[in-house]
Amino acid sequence: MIPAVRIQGLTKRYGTVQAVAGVDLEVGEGEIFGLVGPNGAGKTTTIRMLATLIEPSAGQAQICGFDIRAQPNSVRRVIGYMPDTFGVYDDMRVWEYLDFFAQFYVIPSAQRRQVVADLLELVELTSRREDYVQSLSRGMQQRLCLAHALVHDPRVLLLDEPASGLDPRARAELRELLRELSSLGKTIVISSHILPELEELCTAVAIIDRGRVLASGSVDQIQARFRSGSVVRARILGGPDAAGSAQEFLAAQPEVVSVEIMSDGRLELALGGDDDASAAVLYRAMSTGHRVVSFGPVASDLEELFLQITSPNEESAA
Amino acid sequence: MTAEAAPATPPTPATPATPASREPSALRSFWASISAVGAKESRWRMRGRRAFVVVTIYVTLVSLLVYAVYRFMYDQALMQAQFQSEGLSVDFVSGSVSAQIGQAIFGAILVLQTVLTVMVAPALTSGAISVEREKQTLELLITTPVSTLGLVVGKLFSSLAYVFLLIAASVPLMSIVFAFGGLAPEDLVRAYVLLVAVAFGIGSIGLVMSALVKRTQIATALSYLVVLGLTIGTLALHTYWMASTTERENGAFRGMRSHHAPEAILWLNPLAADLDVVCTGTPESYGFTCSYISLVTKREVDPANPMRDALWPVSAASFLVLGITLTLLTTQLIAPSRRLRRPRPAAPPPEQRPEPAA
Repeated sequence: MIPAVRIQGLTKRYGTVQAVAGVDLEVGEGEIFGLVGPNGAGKTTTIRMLATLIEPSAGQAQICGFDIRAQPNSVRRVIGYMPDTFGVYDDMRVWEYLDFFAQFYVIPSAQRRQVVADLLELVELTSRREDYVQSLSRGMQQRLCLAHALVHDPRVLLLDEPASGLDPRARAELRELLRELSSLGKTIVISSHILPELEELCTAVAIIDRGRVLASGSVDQIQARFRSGSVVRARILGGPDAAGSAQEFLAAQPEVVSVEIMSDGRLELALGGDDDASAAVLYRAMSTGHRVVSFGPVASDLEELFLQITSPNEESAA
Repeated sequence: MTAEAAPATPPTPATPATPASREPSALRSFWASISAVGAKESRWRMRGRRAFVVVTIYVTLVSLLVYAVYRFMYDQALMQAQFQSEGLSVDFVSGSVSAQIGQAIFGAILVLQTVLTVMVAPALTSGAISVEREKQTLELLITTPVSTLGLVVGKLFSSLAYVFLLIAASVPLMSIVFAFGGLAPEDLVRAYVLLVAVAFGIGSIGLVMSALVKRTQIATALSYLVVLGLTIGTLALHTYWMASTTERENGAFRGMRSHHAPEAILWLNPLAADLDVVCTGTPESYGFTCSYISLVTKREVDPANPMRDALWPVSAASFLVLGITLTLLTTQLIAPSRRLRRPRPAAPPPEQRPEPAA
């Protein structure tokens, strides 16, 4: 089966600057694929090359088997693109905006009406149908822009930082929407500079920095590959005394590097091994009578991992 | 192409193919793009009362001009008649005077329309592409299978819709000249053909600037600079050339038409073309217009063979060629291969960082 997106050695140079330096990626049909990296890592340039907006300096990429250089118009028919920053036309109503874009795909007007109605329903803007686009909130405009990318029922969605500038509520709605689209069989390529934002959504991610793919695979795989240790927080039933004795016990375990009691009474453990190590530690703690009610990786762990992967030589650059 | 070239046939889609995923013909795509852009732009321009107000003001101004020309010509003819009839009271003007009034009104409206077109068209078209760039909407357009030519043509004509609207609004007033006589319907056809050609040519100058330059204000300024050059610049150049190359033989003046200024300088001058249209409509009067055209084209004024269509057809054709050329050039400027360069590279320069130690 042909992958939805296949990228081989994709490179973009601006003068002497390499914005994208030989990216290889493969995204399977129906995947939600996250491109993660700090600002300026080359995510946007990569997506813009896939969207046929800029020509690669070297390398190639195919979307649904169509080459982005040789068959740009065929590519444009199978992709829906949402840029990181986009404008809206003044003096255009919400339905007119969608209808306008639908016309470029030569959809007959009767069918267009149906498509516009369906999309407004999907992105929950039906009630704002007659409003002017510029009167919508940022989150609504973002959803409208996503809807515009769907007028031709594309197979692959290229979304460049779709959640940027959105409040948590709008983010959650967007995530829900993307899940719904994924369940409709669409392949989604989404970029973000925040890894945790993509973690629960994506089936696979690629971490990009300075134009290169540093790691790719599922979030778990990447974590397993790059983490030399992890930070775990545990809550022990029984008040400060129990926590104290648990600290003593845990500190004696070979996998545990350090244990601290935090101000809220929970324990924070630095573990020296992988998930097997933490499972072993938890098992021993439980079997020796410590009443552990929660035991899990710290949320910021992913972010630390991300920083760890993307800046291996920050000191030498400074 | 290497052996890893893309497969020739598209793979079977995972989702059922919608009609949109079939490739429509280039022509259908072209028309769809023109109509989409055209409808959107005209909706934008014509929405609200602005268009109505502008047309009303414009028609009022043209009416005032017609009345002023009429009063002026009538009073002058009356004075002349009184002078010729030695004090006899004359309160009517003859048919030939009436024809002169008609011709004067015709010329006045034509020149006014031309000046208006030349002044308004660049302002309307010089934002066509750059505004989309500034608002970051062009990217959204270009990632659709939009026909670039359809997009550009749709932009040009919808931007010019205002100019065409104003030109059309003047037709009823222009018809007044028939009440005075002295002009044939063909003369009006000539005038309007020229006006449309000028609007197209001048509009395309704004359009190409809009695609060349990122900022609308600069595009507008550059367009006006070019238009100024075409109107006043070519006129000044041509006049200077004529004056400095008029030949003398043994110290004697060999006639006005002995200059070496090429007529082609004025091919893209809308005002020179106007004078020719007026001259063609009034060949028997040998007025200023015909003598100027005779000077430019170096043709003798011959009563037996009045000067007709000496300059304006070439001029109209030149504007059409200019318009088509610049429209195609604009298409190239925003075409896929070189479209949309980012103003700044998106990434920090990686080369400036030392490579990580192996």
